[in-house]
Amino acid sequence: MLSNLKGIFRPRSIPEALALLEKNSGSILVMAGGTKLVKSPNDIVQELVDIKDLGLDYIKEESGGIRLGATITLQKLVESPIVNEVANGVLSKAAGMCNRSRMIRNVSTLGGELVTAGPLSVLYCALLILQAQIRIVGGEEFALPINIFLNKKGLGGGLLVETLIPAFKETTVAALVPIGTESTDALACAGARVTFQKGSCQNVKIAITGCEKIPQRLHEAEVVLEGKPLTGPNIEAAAETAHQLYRPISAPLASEEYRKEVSRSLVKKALVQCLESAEDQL
Amino acid sequence: MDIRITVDGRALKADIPPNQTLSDFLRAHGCWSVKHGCETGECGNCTVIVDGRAVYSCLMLAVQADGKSVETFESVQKRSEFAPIQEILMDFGDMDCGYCIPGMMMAMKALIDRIPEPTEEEVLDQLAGTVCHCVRSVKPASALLEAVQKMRGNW
Repeated sequence: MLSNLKGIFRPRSIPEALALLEKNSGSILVMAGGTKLVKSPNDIVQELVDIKDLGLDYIKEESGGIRLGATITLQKLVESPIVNEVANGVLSKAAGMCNRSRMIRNVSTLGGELVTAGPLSVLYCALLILQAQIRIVGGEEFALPINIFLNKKGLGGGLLVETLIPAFKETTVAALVPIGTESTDALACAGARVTFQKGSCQNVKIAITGCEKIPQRLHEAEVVLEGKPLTGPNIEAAAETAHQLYRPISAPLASEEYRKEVSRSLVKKALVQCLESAEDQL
Repeated sequence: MDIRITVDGRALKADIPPNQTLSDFLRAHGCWSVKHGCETGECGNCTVIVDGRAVYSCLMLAVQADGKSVETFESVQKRSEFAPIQEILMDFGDMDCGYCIPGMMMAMKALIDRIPEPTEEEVLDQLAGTVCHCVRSVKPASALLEAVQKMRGNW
């Protein structure tokens, strides 16, 4: 594998890494953890830029939220008390669901997952409901909202350096509800985040995996709950709207019809879990 | 590419092709406990410990371990004729062909080095990335759980 690999660069700074990517475009790839790359049947790549020495393996808590470096491993996200504190720890749970093997999670990185994960990515689902931003450096430096990043093809020679998770109010709760066996990726997963204000829902975010290409937010279902109390009938109405909106893929292990059928239940359970968390915490 | 890796306490220096995996590198340097299995990160037969964390050596390039400390099952074995955990597993008779055992043990060692008295949930989580093709992990998992309770850090 990587049969034509001729060299691996190990830059010590971001400008050095960017210069290497610019100079060798076409036959060069960025490597973070490398778990998906090492065995890929890629005979085009001749050089790799290993970004492990760029100092991007951090979790930093700031007043505006938390900053997650691109090379932080999935297992560190699972174990981090800081990440576990954010919105009921949905990002930690999602990182744990990326791969059932700790041996993979010890090496796989957040940045690597972000550029390689597909439509069933629970990590994308969590980042969508958290409204994460992805910071990319290249010719210029910019931060993209996760939904725009997911719809963008490639990084255009730039380097993904950081994921930013905003700070949430203490009255914010979130939940992720996957369906599947422990030995497989989640066949589908719904996520929800709600901020309670004077008994009503604010900033409702609902997302689901198994959509075409990438997980999606279900905006119309969010609108159903906005400004209203999180009661049984309102949850049912939002789940029904989500079910109507959901356009799932048909893929191995679960058909389009199956995913469609379970979507109502997954969204409902995610919202019920939010309600239960709110009752426990608030 | 020139690399320096400490393997089971030995400082190794080598000039290797950039696409050489860590598992191939370790076997080329006499660590026969590192097994070739699925080669895709499913079975855990190649599990070693790199800087304290269990990893699949088939999914890591040797270059990625440059400057790091690697532990293989040879480091456990060489302390005595049989390591205590081997004796416990033999008592259980749960080793079957034994091909998966070095990888499973290194996964367990990484856990116990960090958490001396892990819970059953933590043990099963750690073993989730290892597969015994003879008995589908059930017997080794139960034996390792029992072994962990008896070991109390006495590798």
